[in-house]
Order: sequence, then structure tokens, then C-alpha cells
Amino acid sequence: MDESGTLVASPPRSAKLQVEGLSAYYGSKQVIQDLSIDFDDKSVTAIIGPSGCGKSTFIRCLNRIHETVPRARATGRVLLDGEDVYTIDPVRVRRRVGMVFQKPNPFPTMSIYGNVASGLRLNGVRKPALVQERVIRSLKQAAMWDEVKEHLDAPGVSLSGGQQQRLCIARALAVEPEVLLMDEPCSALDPIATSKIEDLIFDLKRDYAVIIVTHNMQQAARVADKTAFLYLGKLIEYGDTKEIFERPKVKLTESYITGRFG
Amino acid sequence: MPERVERKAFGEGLVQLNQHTVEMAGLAQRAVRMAVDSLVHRNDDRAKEVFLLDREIYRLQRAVEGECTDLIALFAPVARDLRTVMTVLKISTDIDRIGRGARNIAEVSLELSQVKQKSPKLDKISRNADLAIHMVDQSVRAFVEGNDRTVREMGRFDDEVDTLYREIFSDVLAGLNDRTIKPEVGVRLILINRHIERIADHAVNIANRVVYLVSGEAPPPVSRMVNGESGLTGAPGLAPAPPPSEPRADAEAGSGAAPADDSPSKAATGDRKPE
Repeated sequence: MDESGTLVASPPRSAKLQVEGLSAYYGSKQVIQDLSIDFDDKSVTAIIGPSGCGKSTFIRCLNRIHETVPRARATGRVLLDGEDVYTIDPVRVRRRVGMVFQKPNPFPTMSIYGNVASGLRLNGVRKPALVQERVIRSLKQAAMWDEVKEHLDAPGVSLSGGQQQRLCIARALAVEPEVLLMDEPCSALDPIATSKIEDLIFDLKRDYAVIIVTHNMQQAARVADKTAFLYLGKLIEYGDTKEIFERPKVKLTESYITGRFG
Repeated sequence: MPERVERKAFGEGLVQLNQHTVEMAGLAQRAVRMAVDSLVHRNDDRAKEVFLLDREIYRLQRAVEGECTDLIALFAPVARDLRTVMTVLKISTDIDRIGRGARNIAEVSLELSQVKQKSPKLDKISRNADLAIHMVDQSVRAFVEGNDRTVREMGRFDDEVDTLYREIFSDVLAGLNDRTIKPEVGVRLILINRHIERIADHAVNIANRVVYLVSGEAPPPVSRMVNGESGLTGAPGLAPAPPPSEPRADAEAGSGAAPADDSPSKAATGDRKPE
């Protein structure tokens, strides 16, 4: 919104995901308020905002994970290539809209190979040759093939934190999603692991629409083409990242990104 | 409204930047005033004081540059904070160039004091220096107040400076033609005229940076003049005449003053910095 309260949003290049009037609730508490936004294809969008503003809830609505929480619900529309995800089987939605979480969560009983293959098997891919091809391709896409190719049978949890997170990204990529949601994917990682994930995000945007929630302003500035600022469940400002970080139009955005409230 | 958070360390850094910038600007204005006074009153001691001021301006500029680097490295400023640091970084260079301009005038003034000729009238040069100093003052005041309203009309003052510049240029040429001004005096007056005009240009640069700081608007693009478009008149037999420069990209901002650094007095006064 600008000073007069009008939403400031850039026109989409080619919207992969269109959110229309989305509201989300935990019981009677509304945490997302009538939010509308378009996400470009083959582009990275950062969602920023103070703790509790609804960032994570918002992206969990995009692949219908939000509704798995007891008493949680959402209203409004989320159009994936024009098709409302709330009219599609949620399992299919989550295959098309993958997600990576804040804390790396490889399946503890599975090997590196098994972790990446798990999503494929759940989705009915049985042919060993096809599974192997997808696993290798996903590990390469996640920029960790060279690091793990000699010990694919090792447990996924034996990897470092940064490697585990990239393993989770590979697992998400294996089912060939169209959109990748990342909820603070680097918050538990050291600077080197963070740099690797950021490089990976840069590469991934060639093929995917990436939406990343981050508390790290510099990370948003580094990786995102566009940035959306949320406050109290509302979209306050949305635009090109360079504009948001150099000359935001809304005072509230400026106060937040310059660290004057939080 | 959300709870306000002060960024104390960053805030202190900005205050210090502000103080150094204002201090630099004050010294630069004083240096220009003293340089022109040394010329008008043929006062060599005053000219030499300008060299000291110039050194101090340079020292402060280096300090400001380091402070800006620290603030960027430590706090990764964005939005207005970023524009503030970038603005200070750029205008400190302009202020430094103004100090250099003053030094160049003082150097030429020292050289002129060695020439045995009754000084020609310097009213217009003095008046143009007043205008340039006023422009610097207005620009820096706008920076301190974070107010771009007053500097949006800086172009009008710059036009006045350019007009006087042309008049002075024509007057000197006329004096050279009718031999009332010796060549070694006339050439040096033209140099001084040029330095003053460049000082006004730096003031315009500062003003444009203040507009960027306040509004986020990029500094306006400046068209480059080509030979023959300078508008200089009254200079028979002199084509093309040197054009008064427009304010332009800061990377080039010092070039107008550079020739005077090769002046003989440089060695006598001690060089202040490598270019």
C-alpha cells in the first residue's frame, strides 16, 4: 500500500501462481487477511515481515499444508496456472508445489538415495532406472551430487546441516514440482552452507517459481527478483527487490527493512 | 503502530558522518572565500592558508570514506539509510573537489602576485565566487536538513554563474586583445574563472544527490555539450571557445580542476594527495 492505503503491486510478467483474496485462520483467529498477489514463473520472490505476521502460514496455504493443522482453514483462491489448488487433490497440489522447511528434515531411517527417491515412490514411480535417473538429476540440481555420489547408501542424517538441507531440496525437486516454497531454508545454517543454498536458489529460478520466506533482509535482497512485505497478515508492499530495498514507497516497509521495528 | 527500535550504533555512525560532512563543507567554503580574497587583496599568506585547509578537507574526506565503508560492511544499510551513506560518499568527493578548486585558485593567486602589473578589476570574479559559495552553502544545508525543496532550483543559480563566467571570459579576452591585460595575467584569470565555475558545478552535484537522498529519484542525466554549443560570445578569433562545463557524472567531476595541479607552485606548497 502507498501512503494513501492503496496496494502497491508490480504487474506480473507471467504469473505462475495467483492468489486472490486469501484469508487464513487458526480456529477463530484470522492470521492472513484478504491477501492478493501474483507470483512470476521462473523467478524468485521473497516474503519478508516481522515474526508472527503470517509469512509461513501464507506459503503453507499455497500448497494446502496449512489445512493439515487442526482447526486451521483458508478461504479465497490460489490459482496455479489458472487452476484453483483448492479444487485439486491436495496430494497432487503438493507434488506440483514443493516445500522445503526451516529445519532440514531428512527421513532418519533412510539413506541419501532413499530420501530423494521417497517422493517418487510415493507418487507411484516404480521403475528402478527411472527412479535412479531422477535421483541423480535431483542431486545434481541441488548441487550436491559430487559430494555424495560415492556414498549414496549412507544415512541422510549423517550429512552436515547444509548438506541435509540440500538433500531436502533434492527430495522436493525429484517429483518435478512447478513451484518451490522455501520457509527460512537457511536459518539453521552457517554462512558457507547459506551461500550454497543461495547459489542453488539462483540456479533453480531458471526452471521454477521459487517463493522464499526469510527473516534475513540481506538474503532477500541477494536472492529475490521481487519482494513482498507482510505485516499483521496483510500485504503492505510488493515490488522489484531493488526498488523495495533502495526506495520503498511505504513508510512501514522502510521502517521494517531498516530495522527500526521488528 | 509497531514498537520502534533504535539502531544506536548505526545512528551514532550516521551522526558522525553528518558532522564530518558539515565540517568538510564549512572548511571548503572558507577555503574558496580565502582563495578569492588572496587574489583580490594580493595576500600571499592567505593563499598559503588555503593549502592547509585543503589538506584538512582531504583528511576528512578519507575519514568519511572509511566511515561509509564501515557502515556498509557492518550494518548493510538499505532504503534511506543506504541512500544517506551513498550520498555522503558522493558529496564528500564533491566537497573535496571544491577544496581542491580553492587550492587551485590560491596557487594561481600566488603566481599572479609575482607578475608586475596593476591588477585588473576582479569584481565579477569575486561576485561569481560569492554565488558559488552560496550554492555550496545551500546544497549542504539541504543535506543537513534532509530537505530537497530548496536545492531543486539550484540550476537557476548555476545559470547565473555560467552567465558571469561567460562575461568574465569575454572581458579577459577583450583585455588581451587591447593589451590592457598581459597574457600571463589573462590566462591565469581564465583559469580562476574556470575553477569557480567548476565549484558551482560541484554544488549542483551535491544538490542532485540531496534530491536522490530525500526522494530516491536518480540524479538527472546531463547532456554533454559539444564544441561550438557553449554559447560563449564576444570572443573574436577564438573558436571553439572552452565551454562552461555542466554538472556531470561525478567520476569526471575533478577533471576540470586537474590542470592546475601541474602548476609550479605545487612543489612549493607540497602535494596533498595522489590523483
